[in-house]
Amino acid sequence: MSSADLEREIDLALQRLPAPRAPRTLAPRVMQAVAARVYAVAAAPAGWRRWPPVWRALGLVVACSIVAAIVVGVPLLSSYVENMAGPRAVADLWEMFAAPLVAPALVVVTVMCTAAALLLAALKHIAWEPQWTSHS
Amino acid sequence: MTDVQRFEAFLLAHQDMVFATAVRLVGRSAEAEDIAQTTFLKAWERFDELQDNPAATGWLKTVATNLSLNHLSRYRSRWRFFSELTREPGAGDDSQPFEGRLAAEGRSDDAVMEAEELAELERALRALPPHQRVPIVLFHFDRKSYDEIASRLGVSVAKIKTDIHRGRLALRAVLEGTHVIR
Repeated sequence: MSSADLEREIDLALQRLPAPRAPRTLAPRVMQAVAARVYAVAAAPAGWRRWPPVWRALGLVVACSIVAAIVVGVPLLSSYVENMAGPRAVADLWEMFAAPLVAPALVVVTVMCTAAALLLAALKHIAWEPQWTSHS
Repeated sequence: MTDVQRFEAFLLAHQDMVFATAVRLVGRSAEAEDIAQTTFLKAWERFDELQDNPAATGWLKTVATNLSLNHLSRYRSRWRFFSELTREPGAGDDSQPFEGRLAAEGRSDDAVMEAEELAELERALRALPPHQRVPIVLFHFDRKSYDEIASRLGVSVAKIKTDIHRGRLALRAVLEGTHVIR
């Protein structure tokens, strides 16, 4: 028998095979997994990316306002304390203890907040949110 | 109708095709069921694009094929080892649903005999070693060319031709015993 004949015979025989049918357990398994994913998405806390656009814009404005207030407000406060009328002791205390700490404290707070936000986002990504975009 | 209900209808409509694709490539029902589940979970992730899309069937078949081949490639070293061994007819095969379905249906004697012969052929196909079964399935069911199969599996065309030929000979030996070739 030639190779071509063998190919033809096997092809005819294989084409007569009915397609194997899925086991009855498959559909319930898949739907159970889908339900679990739907639940996970519904139960997950709404992150900033899932906020409505208006809320996201407002959040951004508020965050920028806070930063601007700190950046602009601290020098203003410092200037005010130095020029304030009254006992000199308050201005001296400000210059000796508070003023040198303001800039480093702001840096530390900013770094810590950023680190906490990144850590939280990483934890949510690994442990909470499923690795897919879903249909909620 | 919710997304979940639409997806369930989509799943029921395609599950046989996806399972058949996987089980013929990997040869085992349990593993094929896992692959089919993964395929459908990927489909769920993209269900917005897939529902009502005429290309969905092709997408599912491609994903099921890729997952099956990836699954087998993880055990490639094992393939090579076991491919050197002689396999018992039907060894490693678990085509119980197929046989159960055939037995459950009331048929004439001729039809029952043919069903038994086809069941034997299906069993023989699944019992082939993966390096023969996979190219045979891709060639005869998916209508891939030798070149495409060789490229997909990362082996030479000559090896693909040899493996397919040996697989066909093994199937023919089974068919001669069961008279499927007429």
